[in-house]
Amino acid sequence: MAGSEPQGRSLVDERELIAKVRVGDAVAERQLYEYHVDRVYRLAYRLAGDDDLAQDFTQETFIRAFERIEGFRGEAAFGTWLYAIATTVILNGLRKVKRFRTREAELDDAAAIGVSRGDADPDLKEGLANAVDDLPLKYRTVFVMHDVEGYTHEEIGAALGVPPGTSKARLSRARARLREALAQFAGEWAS
Amino acid sequence: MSDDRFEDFVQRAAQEYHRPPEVPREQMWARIAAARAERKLARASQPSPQQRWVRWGLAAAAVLAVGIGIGRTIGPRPTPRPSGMQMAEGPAGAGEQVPAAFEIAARDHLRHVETFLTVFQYEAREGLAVEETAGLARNLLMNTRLLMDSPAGRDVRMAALLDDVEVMLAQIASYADSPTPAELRLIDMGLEQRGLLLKLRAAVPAENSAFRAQGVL
Repeated sequence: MAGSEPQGRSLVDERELIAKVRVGDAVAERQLYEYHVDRVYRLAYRLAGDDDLAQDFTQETFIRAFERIEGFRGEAAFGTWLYAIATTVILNGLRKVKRFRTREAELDDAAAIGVSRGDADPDLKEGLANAVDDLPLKYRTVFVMHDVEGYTHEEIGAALGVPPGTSKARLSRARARLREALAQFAGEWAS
Repeated sequence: MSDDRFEDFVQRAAQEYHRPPEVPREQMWARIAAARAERKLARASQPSPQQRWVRWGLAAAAVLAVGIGIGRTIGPRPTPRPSGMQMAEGPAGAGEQVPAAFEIAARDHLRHVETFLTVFQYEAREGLAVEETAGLARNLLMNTRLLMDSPAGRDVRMAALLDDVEVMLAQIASYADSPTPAELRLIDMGLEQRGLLLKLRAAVPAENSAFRAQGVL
């Protein structure tokens, strides 16, 4: 799992970095990008299932963030602010991309080559992927952020602009729907 | 099966869901830098509000020149009448063929008016600086009146549209160069109530004028 905020630096370091970015320091911009790009790209890819889209969403996220960094008041962590931009860009982008599901299906086929499937049965995994794809976007987003990428409900709430309780409720509904969709495989996961 | 077992399974198996490849950091950074540079350049080349209004002034002056040309070639303005009366009294009505040059000049003018009003309405609603509008509205108003007196004004539908445009432009022209918020609201309400922008857009289809004008004028 990707876990929570990138570690290895203090809040003070990050504030200094942001102050430098504000005055147009290109090295600081790159450093800030390096700190956060993995997490943004991973989330974009998980939700889009498409490298081109994930790159587009990631790029747009950082472009917007650098453009609006004057408006970042530092009340929350920079990551929280950045992931709010990222989720807005990704979700709006996904709504606009009509071909998303078709491309996703194609990429699922391609991605299956050379990927270790671990312990789970291939049919069950495929069933799970399809069931996740079929979730309404608001449930899928919370499911991917929490169960796949390891965001906390507080982080998800801040990114989506909803209370943590709403995030919990959406995750619960997402799991219930997955459970229902995967009922035919009940014997396999129970074993 | 228990909920815990299912959740364990889902969390484990879901790691394979759209498993991301290695993050293409350099590739994305290069694109971000390029896109930002491009946007900065685009912003730098965008005209300031003053420059925009100067352009508007030039466009209006060009239309005015056409209008004066039209005005010099025509006589007094015939009053538009319902089609029944037109048949009895002379060659004025919706079915009448307006000379192509006048029709094109009228449509070009309406296109300018539509753009002017669209920009005006947007800026008024967004609370942006609305400056020098009265002067521009006066220029457009003058051209409108010239067109009303031209053969283009003999077409009943065109005449009705020009009448609406005249009233709206006269209202804008009557205010100072920097209208107050209350005045802006009144103009906006007038635009909405008349449905003038919709009428203008219907009268001036997107493919109009530029290509045809090249061939005729």
